[in-house]
Amino acid sequence: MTYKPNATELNAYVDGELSPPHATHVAEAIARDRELAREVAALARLKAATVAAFSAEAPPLPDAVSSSRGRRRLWWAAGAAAVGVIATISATVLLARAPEQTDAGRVLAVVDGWAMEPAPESTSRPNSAAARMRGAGLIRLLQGLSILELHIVKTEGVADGVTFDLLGPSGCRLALWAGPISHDFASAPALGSRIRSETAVIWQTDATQYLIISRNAPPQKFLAMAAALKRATEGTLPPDDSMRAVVAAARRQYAPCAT
Amino acid sequence: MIRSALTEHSRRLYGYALSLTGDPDLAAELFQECALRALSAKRFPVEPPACRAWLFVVLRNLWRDRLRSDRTTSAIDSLDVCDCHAVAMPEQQYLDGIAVRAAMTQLSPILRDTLGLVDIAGFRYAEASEILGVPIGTVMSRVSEARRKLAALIVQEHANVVDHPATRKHRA
Repeated sequence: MTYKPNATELNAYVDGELSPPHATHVAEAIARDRELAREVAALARLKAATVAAFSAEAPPLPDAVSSSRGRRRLWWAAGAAAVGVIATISATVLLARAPEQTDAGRVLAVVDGWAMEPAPESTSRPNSAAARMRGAGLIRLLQGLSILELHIVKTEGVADGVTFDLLGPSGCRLALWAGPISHDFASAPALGSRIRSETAVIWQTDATQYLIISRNAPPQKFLAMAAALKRATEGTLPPDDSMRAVVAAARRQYAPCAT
Repeated sequence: MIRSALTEHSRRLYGYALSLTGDPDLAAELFQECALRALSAKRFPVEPPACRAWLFVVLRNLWRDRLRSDRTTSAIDSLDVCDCHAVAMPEQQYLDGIAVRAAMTQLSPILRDTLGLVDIAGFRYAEASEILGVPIGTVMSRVSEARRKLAALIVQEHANVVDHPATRKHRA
């Protein structure tokens, strides 16, 4: 009986994966059978077409900041930025008036006012209010905002602290307040639980209390961003590429923010 | 060292990502994620062939993680293989990039993965079997089945175009 290779053998023959004796055997069968020869030719064409169809220029490689040197550069850059902010505005801080009555209602009033405005297209530098934060806390916060790609579009001194208007790459708009721990935001009815709700999250570090409010983010996405910022301000968020990859993956996982 | 390996294999890595995702934007993201993961890795194989395989494993694992998060894991593990001859092979003129890429997206993830490793990434069956964690025989049957289905899909798509009312009118 004449030997006829099966489809798996023909594909392996096309891929050059058969042993020399086996390949010879198959080649002899192909030489005897024009139908087999046509099939092998078609498989070879299909393979070539597949290779060609997926041969495309790859996107550029990302810059490596994962090395210790890279990480040092990142820290230095963030530190320099924070110091620059503080230095630029220190004179204004000295002239800042004494804090007035402090409550969550004032923060909410400010961010509610911001929410009525259209999201600005470009970012602006933080103003003097940013200097009310302590240096180390500001550096960590700026790094967290950088990793989350949240741009500061506006700042304002509110309730003895600083309120940041934040805008994300997919349109998420958040308001973050940072100030002295003495504030009791639980008294604000709109915020609900002191621990967290779907629209507001409160936490504190050694020296600062934070309140972040979602203006348009889906609840799960907002909570994920708040958790990342909380870790950043606590100094437990590694500011490296792996964290950025996690953030990028999370961004794909959640729906874009409502506009 | 890892950067030069990434540069050397970037086209094939991106092509493999494109074959897995079927979407250029997703493929670019997957490639970038893979590059970031590789560049930040503290340990990686030093030997070039092992390093190359490792890069593809990193990319593949990232994709599988994403599939799992999308709860489509069952599609990864389901496969019906038939060891039969191709019933229809497309003519040369229908084997353009668009048709092949479109047909590839209709293959099951596991067939796309296997054919991507062999044809697009350029791995030998033995290497692909190690990456996939399956015997070489399974790789052989998957490659055969993937090409049979790919060919049938391209032929079918061509038939649909020819049989489309607008095409018929044009031809008439």
